[in-house]
Amino acid sequence: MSLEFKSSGPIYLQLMQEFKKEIVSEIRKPGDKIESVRDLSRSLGVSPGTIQRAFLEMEREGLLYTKRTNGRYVTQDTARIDQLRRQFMMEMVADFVEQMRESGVKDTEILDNVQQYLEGVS
Amino acid sequence: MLKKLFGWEMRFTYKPYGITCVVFAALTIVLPLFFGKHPSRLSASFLVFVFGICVGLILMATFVFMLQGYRNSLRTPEGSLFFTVPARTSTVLLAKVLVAFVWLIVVFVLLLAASFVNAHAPVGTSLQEIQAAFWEHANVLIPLLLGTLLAMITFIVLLYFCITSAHFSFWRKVGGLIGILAFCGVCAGEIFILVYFEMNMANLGQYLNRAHTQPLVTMNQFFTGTALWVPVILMAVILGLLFWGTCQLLEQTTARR
Amino acid sequence: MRFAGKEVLKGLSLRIPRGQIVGLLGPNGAGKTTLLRILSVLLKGWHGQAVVAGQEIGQASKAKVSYLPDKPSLANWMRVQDAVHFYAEFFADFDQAKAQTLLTRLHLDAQSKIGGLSKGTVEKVQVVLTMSRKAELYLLDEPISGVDPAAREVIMDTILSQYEEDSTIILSTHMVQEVERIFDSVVFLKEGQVVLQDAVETLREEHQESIDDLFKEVFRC
Repeated sequence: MSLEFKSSGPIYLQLMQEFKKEIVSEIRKPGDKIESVRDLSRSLGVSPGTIQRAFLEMEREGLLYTKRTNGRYVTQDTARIDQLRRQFMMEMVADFVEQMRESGVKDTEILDNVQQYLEGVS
Repeated sequence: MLKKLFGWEMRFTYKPYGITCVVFAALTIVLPLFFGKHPSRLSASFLVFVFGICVGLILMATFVFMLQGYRNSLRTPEGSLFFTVPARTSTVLLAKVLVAFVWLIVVFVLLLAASFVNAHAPVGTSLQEIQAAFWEHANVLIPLLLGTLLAMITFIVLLYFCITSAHFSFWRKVGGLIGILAFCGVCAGEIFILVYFEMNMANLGQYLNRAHTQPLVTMNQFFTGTALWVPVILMAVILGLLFWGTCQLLEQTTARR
Repeated sequence: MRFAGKEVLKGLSLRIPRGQIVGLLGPNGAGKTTLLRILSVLLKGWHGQAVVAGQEIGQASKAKVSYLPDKPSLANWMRVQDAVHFYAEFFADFDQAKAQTLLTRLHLDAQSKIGGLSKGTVEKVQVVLTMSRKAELYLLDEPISGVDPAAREVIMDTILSQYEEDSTIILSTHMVQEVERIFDSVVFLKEGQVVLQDAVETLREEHQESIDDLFKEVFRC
């Protein structure tokens, strides 16, 4: 993971977002081990406290779990991951739709355009 | 801790002293020894002149190195390195004083040796004779010697005291002047005390003798022994006060601003 | 740690919990160096109370505090190896093996003389020495000022890599942008007083801007 964090907002949130992306896109598979706070803090140049906070939040959200003193892992709960996927998708869709609407595109047109694009690509 | 500090202080300061001592020894001891006692072309008075200059230079150089060395420890960041060490200020100061003292001794020994070599010691005076002469007058020479050593240390501490007080930002503007004045003042004071006391020793001795039917001490004993310890003790007290004073000042001023 | 001072620092009161990486930020002359020198027991003659790791500062606290001065504090004639030995001799918590490993890793020649090294390199050496002590409090005074960006990265990495959870780091700088990511919380110092102290992420969330921008706002004028 090498990311350019924007300091204009909380870094831990950006880190979490990045992790979620990687989990959803299966770059990190269920049960994969996560880097240690220390290693990640070094490779990203970010305070360990921030990393720790991101990890704790994700643990709270059920995306990571800790194996005693053996490190952190991506959850094996595939249902939870699916839920995350859906969440992600909905977020992206919401963003997209809002953007289209702001540009004055009507809802009916949106669906058509999406279909066209997909057919054009595949 | 003191040993370590002493060792490092030596490493930090040996170069100027060392070079000067070696040069001096080369000029005034080695050269005369090797180039014979009868330099045909150079006149004796010229040699004495050169010798005098060497002595003057080494004394001045030593004084400057002591001064500069200590100033650096207050002013430069590498100097303050010593103060970041977990040791008491008095220990750090003591290490610096001892190093300066050692060099002072080295310089004086060199001076003695040089004088010996160049003065072509009187024929017949052997080492044993010198030793014997020493022990004969030991009761006077020992306090005298101790007094001299103490005076040397006091001189160093006095110097450090003045430099440290000149560092007070409060006195920063007249700092140097205060330092010099204090230095002269204490020197003068010491000399005054010694002279005054010596001058009155005679009266004191007579007074003590009069006060008792049987003299506590004979005049002879008084003059040649115990009385000389009093200035030594006085010196020690002054030394103690100056050292303590410098520590107190250092506690306030290990700032560079 | 609590602290209250005078003059250059006027009525300053500060409390920093253990285990954080704290940024001490402020313009030049705000009193950052003074504060750090007081905490490292180098500067005395201040009024108030200062407690480090539950102990009033004094000779004993020097052993728990590792201080990196803002100006180079190594003599020019010293070789890097000499500096390592100095630290090893005087600081019981100095890990010589670790220091030497770090020096090698940073391609710093132990035999080179301090006088012959560039400013950035000397800074690197000093950071290595300071961070190789297992101290409870690290005080780093402007470790990245006047240092080229490449050296800066290396220095920050060294700091992060040596950081232990139960020790605290206070790092002062006026180059906020380059460093703000490594802070857990920041203290803004202006003319000897604390004008702001908070967790970094909280500030970012609240103000929706970087600490650097916030810094510029606070210290404008």
